[in-house]
Amino acid sequence: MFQIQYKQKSFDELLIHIAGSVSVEDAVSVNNELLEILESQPLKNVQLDLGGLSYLDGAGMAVIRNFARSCNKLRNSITLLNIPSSAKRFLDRDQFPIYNDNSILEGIEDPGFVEQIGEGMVNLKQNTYDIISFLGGIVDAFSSGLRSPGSVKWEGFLRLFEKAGVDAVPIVVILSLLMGAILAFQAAIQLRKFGANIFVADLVSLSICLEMGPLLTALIISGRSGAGYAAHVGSMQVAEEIDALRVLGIDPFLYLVAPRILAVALAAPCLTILADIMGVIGGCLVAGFSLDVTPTAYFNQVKKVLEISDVLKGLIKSLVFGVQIASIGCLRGFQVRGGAESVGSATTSAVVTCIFVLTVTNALFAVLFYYFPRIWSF
Amino acid sequence: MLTNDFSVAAISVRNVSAGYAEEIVIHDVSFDVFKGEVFAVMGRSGCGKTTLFRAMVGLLKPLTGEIYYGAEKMEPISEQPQLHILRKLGVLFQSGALFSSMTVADNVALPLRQFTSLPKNVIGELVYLKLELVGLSDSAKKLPEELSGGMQKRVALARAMALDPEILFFDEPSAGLDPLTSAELDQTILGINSSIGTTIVVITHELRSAFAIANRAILLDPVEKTVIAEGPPRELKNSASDLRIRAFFRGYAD
Repeated sequence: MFQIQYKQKSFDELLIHIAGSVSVEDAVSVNNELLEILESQPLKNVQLDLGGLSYLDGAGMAVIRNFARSCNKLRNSITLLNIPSSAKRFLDRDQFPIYNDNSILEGIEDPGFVEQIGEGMVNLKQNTYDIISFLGGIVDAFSSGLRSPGSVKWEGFLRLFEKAGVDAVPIVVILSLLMGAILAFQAAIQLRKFGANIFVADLVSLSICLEMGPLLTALIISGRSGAGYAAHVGSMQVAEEIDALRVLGIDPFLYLVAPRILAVALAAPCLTILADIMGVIGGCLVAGFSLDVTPTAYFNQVKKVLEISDVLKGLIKSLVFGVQIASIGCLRGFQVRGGAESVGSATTSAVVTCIFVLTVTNALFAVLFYYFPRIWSF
Repeated sequence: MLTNDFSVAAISVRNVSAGYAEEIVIHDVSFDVFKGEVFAVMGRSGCGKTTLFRAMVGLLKPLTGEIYYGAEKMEPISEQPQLHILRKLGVLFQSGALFSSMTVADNVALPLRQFTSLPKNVIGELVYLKLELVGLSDSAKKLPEELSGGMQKRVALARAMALDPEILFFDEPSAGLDPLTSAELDQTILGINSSIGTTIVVITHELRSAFAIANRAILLDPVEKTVIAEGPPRELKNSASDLRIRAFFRGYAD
């Protein structure tokens, strides 16, 4: 508990007595009372007597310093009397003549427009450099892996394949089944008008095998493995584990990146085949229920229209997608500097970059397959 | 008000066993920490010091036994966080555990903003005071990653002391610090203890540090998994007849 009393000492002198104990619990009310007195009294010279204090903690000292600064702001003079010895270090004006301005809590200022452009350029340059050296590292790792296959850790590779591939099976199955069903359902509304019900099989099988299957699978893998690799490698970077690998003479590209790229590059086509099958089945279910197309008729039509070449196109795409996802995940992980926040943004950035790169690659493949429509002929 | 009374227990640990999964790390540990003293929990690496510390601050649920702060029983934070007890504790973790996305000043200001309704100016002053106390007011606007390990630890100390807690825990304060910085930290700890009478619990294996600051200590043994000695460190060193205690305090393997 604390008591505050004040009186006018002479014509322009205000004397405030503060007694009792001021701790962090009372600090708010002490602060308010002191400031109220200061504002209500138009006296120029303020003296604050701390002689009666039995206890004063950090919050109390902060309140007194804040009071003194408020006095200065109002152009009053302030004198502290009978400062307790334990508080001398922070309240004695001889030792601390300047009451600091309050910028201590205002963090780093937001950069201006020009500064931001400059920062963006520097980041772009750094990012380009990182990507190029990363690609170099991958090529180097794979070539040395080919030269001495014994140096690659295969037991780790199987675990990675399981995590990136097998563990993703349920989500891929459910989503592609739904995707096939949705495609068939949307098509059904239009096709029914023309009595062209049987062509639902063409539409579903071609769009699933050429586009939706590989892309959907790749997006699932970016969300699972791409983000996972970025967070994993990023945390290793923060915990100096990458540096530990380097000084052990182990190439982090050979040890971490190469097996991950291989695992995802292998898992992606496998999952895509599964997605293709499930998508076509999903279409079949909807065709049966809402278009009166029997499964036999449906699959006969699929067999007529879908060529091996179409499926292969999708699988080639997904192989490339797999390499890209694993590389981007690891690259963003390696770019982590600092702490937890940086790992978070690396993970976000990995998924965003994956989606962007996948879409662009898909467009490039569309052009490529337009000029080379048949990549497999009997 | 904090009073130095070496007979009132600030923390009472009663028959505490704690461990992880199948493994019991400490078994049937009982002791008192008195108000205003500097208390050291000592022992070799792997004897369960950190497990005991985690149980005392409520991060780990003891398998059996109770921990009391004054008359109140400490429940594990995961089950029933007791803010009024936690509010009285300051904890300095081994690695500092600063929030890496906040500036040094914001790290120290966090508990103040959380537990008090002080206006911004006063919080600013208080942050400045606490950072000045650990000699780092110049680094207020830096991010933790820009500081050295010792500096991070000092910022963590400033954060732990932000609310002037009645009890301060230090988990291995000298880990990763050079002898000089470590000795300075010891002086800071003693300064806190003597100026406002804060009760201090230090988890350490550093003999030099324990002799320098601790009023009393307990020694945990990794084989017995419990307290094998209790008393002022110097007395334990000079008069213990138990070979394990002698070996620990004189610092040689038998």
